[in-house]
Amino acid sequence: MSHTSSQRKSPATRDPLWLRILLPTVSIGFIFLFLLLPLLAVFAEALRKGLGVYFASFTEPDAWSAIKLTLLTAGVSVAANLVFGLAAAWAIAKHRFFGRSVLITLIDLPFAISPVISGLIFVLMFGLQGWFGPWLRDHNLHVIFATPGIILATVFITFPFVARQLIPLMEAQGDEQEQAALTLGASGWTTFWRITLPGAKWALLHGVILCNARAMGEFGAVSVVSGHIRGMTNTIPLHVEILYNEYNFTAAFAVASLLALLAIVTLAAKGAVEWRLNRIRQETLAQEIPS
Amino acid sequence: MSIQVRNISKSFGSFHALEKVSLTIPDGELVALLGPSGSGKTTLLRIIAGLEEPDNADGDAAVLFSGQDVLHRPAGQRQVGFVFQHYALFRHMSVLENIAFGLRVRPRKTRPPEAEIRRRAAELLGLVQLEGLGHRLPSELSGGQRQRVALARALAVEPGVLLLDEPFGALDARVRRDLRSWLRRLHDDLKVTSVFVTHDQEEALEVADRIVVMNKGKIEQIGTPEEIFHHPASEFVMRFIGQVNLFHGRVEGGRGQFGPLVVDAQAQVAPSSRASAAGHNARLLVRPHQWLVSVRDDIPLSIPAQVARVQSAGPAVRLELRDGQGETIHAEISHERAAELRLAPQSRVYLTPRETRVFVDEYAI
Repeated sequence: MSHTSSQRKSPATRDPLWLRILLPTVSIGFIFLFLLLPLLAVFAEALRKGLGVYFASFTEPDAWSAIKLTLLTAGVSVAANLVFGLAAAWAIAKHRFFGRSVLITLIDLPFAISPVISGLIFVLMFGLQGWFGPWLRDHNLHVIFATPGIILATVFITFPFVARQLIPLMEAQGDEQEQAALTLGASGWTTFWRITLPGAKWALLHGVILCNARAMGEFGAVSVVSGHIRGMTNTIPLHVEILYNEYNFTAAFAVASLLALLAIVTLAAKGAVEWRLNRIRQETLAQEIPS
Repeated sequence: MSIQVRNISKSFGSFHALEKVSLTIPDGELVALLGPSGSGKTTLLRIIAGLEEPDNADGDAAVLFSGQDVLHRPAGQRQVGFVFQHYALFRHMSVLENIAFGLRVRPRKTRPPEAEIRRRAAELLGLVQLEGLGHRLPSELSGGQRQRVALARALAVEPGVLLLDEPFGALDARVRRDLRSWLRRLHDDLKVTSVFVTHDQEEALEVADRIVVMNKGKIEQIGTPEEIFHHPASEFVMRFIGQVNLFHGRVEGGRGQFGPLVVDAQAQVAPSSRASAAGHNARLLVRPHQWLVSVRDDIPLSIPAQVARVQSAGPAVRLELRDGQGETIHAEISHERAAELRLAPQSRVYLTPRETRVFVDEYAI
C-alpha cells in the first residue's frame, strides 16, 4: 500500500542522527573493504598487462584444459545432485518414513566436514592403499588422481545445495496438490512431472545455481584427490594456485577473474530466482491461511 | 452411485479415529458428516475416497460403490471427485488447465480429443459461474472462486461420487452462506451422490438431505435434519445440534426430579435410555425455544427466574436468565411475546418447558 511510505515515524521512535549516519557508513565501508575491493583487485591485476595477455592466459593449453575439466565436473555434479537432491527432498518433504530425521541430518554432512577431509575419504576408499584400491588397479581403473575422483569429491561436497533449497518449499506446499492429482486419476509418475516438479522449479533452479557455483569453485576436496597433474587433473581453482606459486601473477589473476565473473553471474541469477521464490512462498501462505 | 461402508476401523498411533463404522448412503443423496474435530469424519471421507486405508482393509472392512467393492482400488480409479478444504488447486496452472487436468491425464485410449477437453472445461467454468476467469491463476482468485474451481475440477472427471472436505471451512461467513445454497441447487441439478464433511451444524441442517452425526470415531445418529433436530438419539447429538439448557437430577419410579423441575420420566426419557430408567442419575435438556415464558406463576411445574439480559437483535429475542440457584438459563421467545411481557433486566418470570428430553447415565451406582 502507498500510505505506509507516506507515514512518518514519530520522533520518539526515530534513531538519533549520528546513529543513522554511522551504521550505514560502517556497513558500506566494510562491504567495500572486504568484498568489493578484493573483487576489483582481481580484475585490476588480471588486466595489468593488457587485454592481449589477459586472453592469452585462457588459451594457454593447461589453462584451457583446466577450464574444460571444471565445466565437465560442474556439469556432472549439477546433473547428479539435481537427481539425488530432488529424490531426497521429495522423500523427506512428502513422506513420513522410518529414518527420515536421520536422512535430514545426513544431507548436511558435507557442510559439516572440512572439504579436505571429504577429499581424504575418497582417497581412503579408492586410493591404492584404500578399500577398493587393489580391485580398481586389477581392472585398470583410475579414480584418485584422475577425473572420476574429482567428480566424486565435487558431487559429495555439493550434495546439500539442491535438497536444502527444495525441502522447505516442498514441506510448505504439503501434499494436497498431489492428492488432488491422484483423485483425478493421474498416475504417480504424471503427478510428479506435472504437479510436484513445476511447483518446485524455482527452488530447484536456486539450488542448481548455488550447486554450480560451488562445484566450479571447490578447492580443498578436489586438491586432495586431484594430484595436480598439469593439463590433466587441474581444475580452475587448482590452476590458479599453481600459477600463483610460480609467480605468474597476471595469468593467475586472469584465470581467477573467470571465477569472479562466475560469482557475479551467480549472484545476479540467484537474486532473480529468489525474487520469484518469495512470491511463491507468499502465495503458499496466502492459500493456507483463510481470508 | 450408492455408497456402502462396512466395519471401518482406523487409528493413528494410539488415537482411534474410527471404530467399526458402517454406513449406507443411497444414490443421489446429499449427505453431511457432522461432528466436532477429532470425531473421525474427515478420516471416513478420505477412506471412501481412497486417500486413506482402513486398518482392517484385509479383514472385514468394505467400501462399496453401487455394490462393487472398491476398497482395494487406488483413489484415481474409484471415480470420485474430491474437493479439499484448502482447495489444493494446482498453483502453476490456469483455472481452465486446473479444470481440464482430470481429462488430460487420462490414458490415450480414453482421453477425449483436445477440442472436446477445452469445450468441457469451458462448460464447467460456466457451471460454476466463473466465465471469463479461465486464464487466471488460482492466486488471482478470491477464496469463494477458488473453491468453485476446485468443485469444477472434481466434476470434470464425471464422478459417481462427490466428496467434499469442509468445503466452506476457509471462507468468511457471507460467502459461506451464498456458496452453500448454491451447492444445494447444484446438487439438485446434477443429482450426483455427494458427501460433505462439516463441523457447522447450521450448515449441515440447511444443506443436507441426511446427516450423519459422528463423535469419537463412532456414528451417533443418522437421520434427516428434522429427525436430528427434533428427535436426537443421544445427549451428544442434542447438545451438538443447537443450544440446550442442562439440568442434573435423578430418575426414580417413573418420576424425574431435576432441581426445580419434576417431569413424568416415562414419557420424556429418550428411547435409547428407557430400559435403564429407574433409580439413576440423569440429565434433562431443554432447548431455548421450548420455554414458555410467563409473568404469572399459576402454570404448574414452572421455575422462577430473573431476567439478566435481553438481546433482541435477531429473528427472535434471546433471554439470559438466572434461576433460584443462580444458574444461567437461555430462552428464546418471539418479539411479539417479548413486547407483551415487557421484559427488562431484573424482571421476574416463570419458565415452563414445553418439551424436554431426559438422558439417563448408562452406568449409575
